[in-house]
Amino acid sequence: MENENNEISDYSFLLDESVEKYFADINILLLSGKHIDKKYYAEYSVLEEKEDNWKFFYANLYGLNLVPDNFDGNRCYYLDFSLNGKGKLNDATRNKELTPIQTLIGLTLLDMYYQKYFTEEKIIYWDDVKMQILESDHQEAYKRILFNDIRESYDEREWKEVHLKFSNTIKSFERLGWVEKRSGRDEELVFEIRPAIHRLGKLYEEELLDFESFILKLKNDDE
Amino acid sequence: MIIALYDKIRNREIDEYFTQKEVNEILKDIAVEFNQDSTRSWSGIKDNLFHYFLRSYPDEPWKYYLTDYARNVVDLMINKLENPYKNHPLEKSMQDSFSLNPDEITTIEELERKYGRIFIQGSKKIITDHLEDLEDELREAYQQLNDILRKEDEQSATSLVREFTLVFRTFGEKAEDITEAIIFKDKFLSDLQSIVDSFYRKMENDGKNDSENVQRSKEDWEKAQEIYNDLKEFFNSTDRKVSIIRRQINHSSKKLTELQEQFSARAFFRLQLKKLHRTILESAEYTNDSVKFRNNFPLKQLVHEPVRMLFPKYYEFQPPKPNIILDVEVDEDYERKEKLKIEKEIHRQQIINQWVDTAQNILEHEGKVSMEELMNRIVDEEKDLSVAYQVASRMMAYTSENTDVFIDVEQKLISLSKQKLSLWKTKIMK
Repeated sequence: MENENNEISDYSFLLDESVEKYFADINILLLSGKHIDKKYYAEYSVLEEKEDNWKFFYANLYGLNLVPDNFDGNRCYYLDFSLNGKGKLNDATRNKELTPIQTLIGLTLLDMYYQKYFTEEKIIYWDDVKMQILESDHQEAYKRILFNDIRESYDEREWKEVHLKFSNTIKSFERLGWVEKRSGRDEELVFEIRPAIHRLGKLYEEELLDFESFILKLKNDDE
Repeated sequence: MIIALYDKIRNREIDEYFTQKEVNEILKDIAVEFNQDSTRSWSGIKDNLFHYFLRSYPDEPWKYYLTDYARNVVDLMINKLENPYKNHPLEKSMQDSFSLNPDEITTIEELERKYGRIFIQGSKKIITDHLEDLEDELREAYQQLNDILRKEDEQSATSLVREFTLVFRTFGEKAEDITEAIIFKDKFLSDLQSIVDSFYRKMENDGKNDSENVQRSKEDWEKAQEIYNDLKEFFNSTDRKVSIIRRQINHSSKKLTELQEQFSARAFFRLQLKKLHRTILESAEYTNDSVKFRNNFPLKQLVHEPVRMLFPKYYEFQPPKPNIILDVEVDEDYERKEKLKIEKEIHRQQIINQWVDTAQNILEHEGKVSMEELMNRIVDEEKDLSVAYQVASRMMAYTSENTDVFIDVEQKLISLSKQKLSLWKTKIMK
């Protein structure tokens, strides 16, 4: 690790053998929104070893923050916008807004993460998702939002549509490193929820800080 | 129905060989117990159960009995529910199944009877069943821990910790038991190895003394070695299961320590997340292909600049060249020479034709043509041997085409005057 007192002012670290070897992977992954944890051991180690150099590199060249974060005891790295705007990725095509369904499923997965808090690998099978929809405390809301009808059971066609909504979201979360898919194409969904899913909670830090006024604002919108 | 039969037989309420009347009564009881509108009829379910679960008693065909298979299935269910190993330490099961006193085994038969592949089946099964139950038990405990955690906003931190600790005691006890079982297993394997070694030493001694028994003691040692390998393989597989269980116990205990350290902060964070989760569910509405918010629930942005490598599949490195038609000038000299050649050839063909006609006329009028005379005459007049040759060839062909013309070849070589060509004396006659 670099001595923090050392002022970094150049990009010479790019000439390091390990950096040269993994630069393309790391850069492509980070810019596409990936949260790199120890599952990507080689990339993670290269980032950790030259953390300050990488931070300088992204701050200066992209105007982005490289954030070393800790989610549920797991360290990971990701890029975030700096406080004074979106840096070089200000262009609408260069950043991505999570859609309502992605946000909804993301928060559901965060809830499910805690259902398996004491289990080492939080593996979720499609049946677990179905249980969450049919039998959890929020079953009525889930049924209303996903099926537009509150019933005891749903037919195969209806489930297929919901499965599609979930599997599309899981695919995009995998690119972010929030989940790791365990099932193949055209197979029933199986995936692991990674600790990095907590980033979603962090994105709502501001709202959570003053939750009462956030709720009040939403209520005013409703009316 | 099968369970009810099993139960009644075990409690001696009905005989092992029961009648249809007894079955009907059981079906009535089931209907009452499960609030069914009507009693299911025996004939309706008989076909499904027959052979595998139920059979007729050969001596009294109007009576039935439960098959061994049916009893095993119910036993399995009972074992799963009651977990008979729950109160027995794994180490104890190991000790009972794999106790070994090296002195009591002196012959290979004794070893085989105690630990041979077939004789040890039962003991192995006890251990694997025990491990499986242990896994079930722990899985239940994790579930309890997860459930307790989900209630954290409803309870005080102290009562939560108390509940956690209670469940966690199971882990502690089990971890200790597993460790002791492993120590026992290592000792057992090392004792077994020393028995195998004693067979090896016997073989060595027999070898040195050139004893007749050497072949037999070698076989004994190989059998002992095989028994050892079989058991080692079995314990390796239990080791793998045990290590998964231990890892999971460690993980849970780590999580619990973390929880205790930062209970209030974490509980607050969890509570906030739950509220956010509930809020998003209240704000979301169904749409045909996705979900929308009926209010201004904020959406968040992430860095997203995927690197795209775009390249055209085909690339023309130069602009295409236009097709130009070249107007080639007439080469008059070449044209004249070629025309001359053609005229000359035509002329030659005409001369040949005239000579063929002449030869045919001669044949017609004189009845015969001498080849060498004809050819000499042509060469003399035309100064061209190839014309003479071609006329001769045409005349030969004419002979074979007309059945009234004959050819007479005498094997006498004649050379044409002043020409390097010889031919046999040939006459064509009519």
